[in-house]
Amino acid sequence: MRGSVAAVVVTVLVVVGFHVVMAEGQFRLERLAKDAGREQQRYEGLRLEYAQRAAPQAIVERATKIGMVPAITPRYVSVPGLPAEGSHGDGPTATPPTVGQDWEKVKPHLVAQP
Amino acid sequence: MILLVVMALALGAILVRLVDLQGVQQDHLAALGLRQRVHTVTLAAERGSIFDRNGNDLALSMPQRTVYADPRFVKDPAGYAARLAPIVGVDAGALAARLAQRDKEFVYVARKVDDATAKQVKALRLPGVGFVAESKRFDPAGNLAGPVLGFTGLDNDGLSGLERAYENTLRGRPGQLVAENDPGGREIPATERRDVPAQRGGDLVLTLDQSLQYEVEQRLTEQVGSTRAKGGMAIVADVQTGDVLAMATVDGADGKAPAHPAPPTEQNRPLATVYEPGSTNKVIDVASALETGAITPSTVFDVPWALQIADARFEDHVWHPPERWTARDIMRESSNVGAILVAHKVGKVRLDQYLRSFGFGTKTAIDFPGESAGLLLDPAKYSETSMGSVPVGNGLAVTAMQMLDVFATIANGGMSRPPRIVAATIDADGTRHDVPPAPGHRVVSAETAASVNDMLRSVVNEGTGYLAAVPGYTVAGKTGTAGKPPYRDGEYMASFAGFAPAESPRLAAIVVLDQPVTNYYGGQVAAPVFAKIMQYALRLERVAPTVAMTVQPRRTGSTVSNDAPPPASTTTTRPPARPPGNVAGTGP
Repeated sequence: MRGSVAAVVVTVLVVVGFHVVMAEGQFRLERLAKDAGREQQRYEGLRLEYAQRAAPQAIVERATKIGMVPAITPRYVSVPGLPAEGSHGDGPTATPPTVGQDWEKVKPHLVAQP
Repeated sequence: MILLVVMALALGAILVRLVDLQGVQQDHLAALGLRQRVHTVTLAAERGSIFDRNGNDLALSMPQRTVYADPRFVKDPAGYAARLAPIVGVDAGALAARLAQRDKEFVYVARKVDDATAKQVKALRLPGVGFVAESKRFDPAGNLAGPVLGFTGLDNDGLSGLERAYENTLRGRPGQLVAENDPGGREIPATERRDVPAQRGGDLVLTLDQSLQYEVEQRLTEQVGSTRAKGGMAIVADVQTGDVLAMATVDGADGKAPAHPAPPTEQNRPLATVYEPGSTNKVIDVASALETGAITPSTVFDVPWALQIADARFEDHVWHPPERWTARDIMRESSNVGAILVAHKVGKVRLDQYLRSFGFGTKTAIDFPGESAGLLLDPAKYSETSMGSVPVGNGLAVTAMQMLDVFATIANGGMSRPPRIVAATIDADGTRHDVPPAPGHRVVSAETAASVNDMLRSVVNEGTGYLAAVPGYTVAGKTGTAGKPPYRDGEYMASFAGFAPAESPRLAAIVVLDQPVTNYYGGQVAAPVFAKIMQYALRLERVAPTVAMTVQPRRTGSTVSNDAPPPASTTTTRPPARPPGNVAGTGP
């Protein structure tokens, strides 16, 4: 009789303990999800800020503010010994890397809704 | 004893009530409780982004907070409205009415508010008021390529432009969240149940170049402003791939604002607006005549200054005695009479076939919302004067993109290269899908294209298009000055279309000014804009110069000078032309 009561008490304690652990895990999961959401929001905010600062109008305004002026009409010179043929633009692009170029790697890891 | 009876009756009543609540009304009350607690929210999917060809964000969505309320938990709608309305900037009366709708679980208080506003609302700690995340669309570069990108509505649905054309790709798939709230309106932790996850929208990668787009818009805006035009359009395209690198629409000054790039709410005019092309159409006259063998490059025409066709008189823009001109001369001088004579060799049926083969009368492969196919008359319905007006670019209407396609085809050795604006899409899991270019078709032979190319070079080197010259490069192109129906004095469309480098073409561009006031000749007002944007584009594409420049030593003794004079063709002055005098008012 005493053994049965003890078994029941132990079982109840185990079940309660299990539920406590489950609930704690759930809360931790929700905290992590909120942290992830916050970081994603921060990423997206920085991305918008980057895009706004990198916009041509913004760059021109900042350049004008610090006293820069548009370049004069470029002149090209021929180097003796080298042909002046067109190269069909095969040279490396001078465009700096942008946020969008990493987008394909980043996108799958972002939450799909705002 | 009496006390016992009273207690027994009371306990009996409690028991009866207990049985009634827990037994008889169990299902009903449980359902009621569930309805009060459970709160279903649609999870809007994050809308896809739009990038330029280099990965710069042209349009993107950012989560913002939308304030909502559950009226079932709002005990004092007027009081709530009085506190919330000044913070979120909505009408208090309308808000109070919304909050009083007790039969609703969800009403908007204010949509997509910024973080500072959301913080103020949260600080009020009003039961029943909560936040849900919603996307807001941002154009980080302002109005850049506005009419091309289009805009979205409050519910993030595309309403115009590419936002609308690619709505199915961009919008994604919404999800659903089911959560349980306590009587205070707060979510009960660990009870959230997400039934359907949202799927993020796909992204578009355009062929547009942000930097070039900006330059084109600025140069066009300057010229629209200085010529007091009603507006302007410009396009730059890669002739080998058909990629549209820039597409600009500019509004003229209207008394309230100076000339400026058009906002996203306006039509994308290079695709949606038609105009009579004028002399730029002469390219098709000559190309079709060469291709059909009706003429050769050395065929000589006796070209008078004026020609009578039925009851209409067609004149060249500058008086001249009867000349013996080849097609090259006719193109260089932009002779209306010469072009009509060339077209008569082709005949109206074959001319119409080539107009259509070059793309007139059909929408381009871009298939943009609101795009026009242009206006082309069936040759069976031609009037007696149609074979006078059509060859000189009147009596038909085209979009700027259609006209640019003609020049891109010539530049591409006679092979059409259908234009495109979207280069790729990126789906929800980040996989890029390139959009293959649409197949082209042969319009004219490589030999014909080469002959026309040569003629178009003479237009820039010796003819009406000298202001389109770009230092260091050989440019081929054609000017156009066409009267606008109903052909009042001073109302013209001034244009220039061409490509460079002419020896091995890479880029084609067109500039169209709508009703410039100070000067309406395409060669005078559109060609200089072409030169500036083409110079920028060639440098951006790192296309090496094709013309060796002369280097003059400085007087100080250094061997290399940046003060080398420009090529002679850019400083040639032309005699002032007579105002167009033909029926439709077509100039060079």
